[in-house]
Amino acid sequence: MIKNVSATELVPVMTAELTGNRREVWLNKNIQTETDEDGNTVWTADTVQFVTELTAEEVTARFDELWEEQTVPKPTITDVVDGLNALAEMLMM
Amino acid sequence: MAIKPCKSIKFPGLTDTYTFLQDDTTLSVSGAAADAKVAGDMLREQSAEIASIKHAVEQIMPYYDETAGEYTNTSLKNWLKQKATGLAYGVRIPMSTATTLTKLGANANFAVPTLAVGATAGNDPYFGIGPFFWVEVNGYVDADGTPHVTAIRGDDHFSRTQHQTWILTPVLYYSMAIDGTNIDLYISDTALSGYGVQPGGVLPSGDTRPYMLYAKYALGTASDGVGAGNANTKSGLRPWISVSHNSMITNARPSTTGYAGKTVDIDWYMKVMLMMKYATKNSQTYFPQCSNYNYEYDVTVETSNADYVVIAKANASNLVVGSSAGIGRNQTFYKISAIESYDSDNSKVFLEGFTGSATTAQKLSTMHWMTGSCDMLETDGVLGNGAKYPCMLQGIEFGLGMYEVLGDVIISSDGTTGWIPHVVDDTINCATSLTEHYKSTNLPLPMGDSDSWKYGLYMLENHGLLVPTSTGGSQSSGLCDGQYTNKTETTGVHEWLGLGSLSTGGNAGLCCVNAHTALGLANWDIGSRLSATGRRG
Repeated sequence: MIKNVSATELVPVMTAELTGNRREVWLNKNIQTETDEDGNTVWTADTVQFVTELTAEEVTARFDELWEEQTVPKPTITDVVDGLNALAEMLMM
Repeated sequence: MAIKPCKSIKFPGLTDTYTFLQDDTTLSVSGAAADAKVAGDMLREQSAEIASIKHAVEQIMPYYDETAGEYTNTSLKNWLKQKATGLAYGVRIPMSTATTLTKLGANANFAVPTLAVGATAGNDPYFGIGPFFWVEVNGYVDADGTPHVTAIRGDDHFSRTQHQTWILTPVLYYSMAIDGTNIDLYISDTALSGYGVQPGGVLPSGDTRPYMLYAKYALGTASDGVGAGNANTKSGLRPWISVSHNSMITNARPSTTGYAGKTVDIDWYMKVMLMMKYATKNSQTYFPQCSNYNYEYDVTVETSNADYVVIAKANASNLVVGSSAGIGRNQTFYKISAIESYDSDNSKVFLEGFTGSATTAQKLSTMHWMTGSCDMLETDGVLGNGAKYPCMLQGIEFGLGMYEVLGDVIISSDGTTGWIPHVVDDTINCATSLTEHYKSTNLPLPMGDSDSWKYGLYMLENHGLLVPTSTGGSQSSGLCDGQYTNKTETTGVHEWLGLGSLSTGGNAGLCCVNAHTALGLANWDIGSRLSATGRRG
């Protein structure tokens, strides 16, 4: 999840078509308007972004489920390496 | 028996004269001449053999000419030819809010690289392959733009800290096809039919460069540099900040040298490499840069003649050892070498090379990472996770926490057609105003009726510059980077600030452009990069 900023309006579900019957999806929560340092209105939101073969309608219907799926913390490469090292140590004991 | 030289003898038909060390004084003149011919013929044969061996070596590997103290450009060019695949590597770029690209052609066979993170090695399947090949070298460039390589990484005399350090790559060829929905971009290491030479790939003479040299490091200043300010690309330097489009004309002396401030070709190269390898427009997905590290903390305990500054413990916990900070924001700042407890509420932040005073009226301010901070990375990667660390792409270190100003671009607005970048035809013609040598890209940066960050959807290229254009994106859609422009009705000429600074956050990235400052504006968060490829035909 990222804190998104946009000069144009954000809505809960946004999509863009890709090749191969895929589409890029943005799910936006906590959409707010703010005023930037130049006095302009900007839209902010908590955003997750992914590529899927689901239709826009299916994404809208499964918003909460997909949000949860996308916000599960993914391990960093450092986490993976640390995990493998821990496993190796366990096996050597 | 002592050996003594006899007279020099020239045999009829030979152009050279041979002198022998011998003690045989009994030889007749004709006998000595006959000996001389035998020896001369042997020398001639050996010379021919050496030339033949040199020629053979030059065809397949870099040949170091001891006399010149550098590698021959012929051998380097041939070496790159040996590595060429002749294939077309492509990517389909949606002209919409989509950020995900589709790999095409030979590029479709490659997985997205795994980044190195600090000491944890990455995995780059592109490493060493045809157009993606790169190697670190020391070298220089002549005033006419001819590049030279004096050392290749692995040589005993190679040094990142003592000599100008560049990333050597093959000259690329490319094609861009636009159908209104997508842009198909292809690159190759070979001049395929319909492909053009990459930006900066042609010398003023009209010859294709033997290879490209890109500055590995952000602009620094140290002895043996170039221009009025000893501009440098070396490891271990404090980034040279408070520079501007105009000051880089003095700093790198493009009018009389082959150098310049950062030029469009390295900007093009990094954007193209990102899209080809990572199949995204959003560089910060992989390379967040040091873009969210803007802290100014009150000094909490007064010190004098100390190599540290004391700030609140909670604030110190936000700082990264190895990054930089200074007393206030100016051109003198220091690497944070350690952070230790001072008392239960405060911490000592040690600054390498600092001995001085700090009062409680002052602030400790974060600044830009030193050049070479990413030297431990062997492939694409980041020094750490998050937006506090610098990055490396294709051997090029970037994202130290300051903007990098382009030395060959002026952005102009006539009040109606938008802020349009112009690129100088050859950096020898760099100027502080829009002269006839500056060629319009005819591509406006994202336009609007406010002074604000805007968000382009895609980039188009003209005169070697990839220009973010159109509107409708955000920090997570389209190009995912901000382009700051003044409202369209404003007129003027501005400089191109790329990448982003400590505080640019989600607006930072390879497609970030801050286009609201005058050509001579120099600020604490503006640096640049030395260019050796600005002389172009």
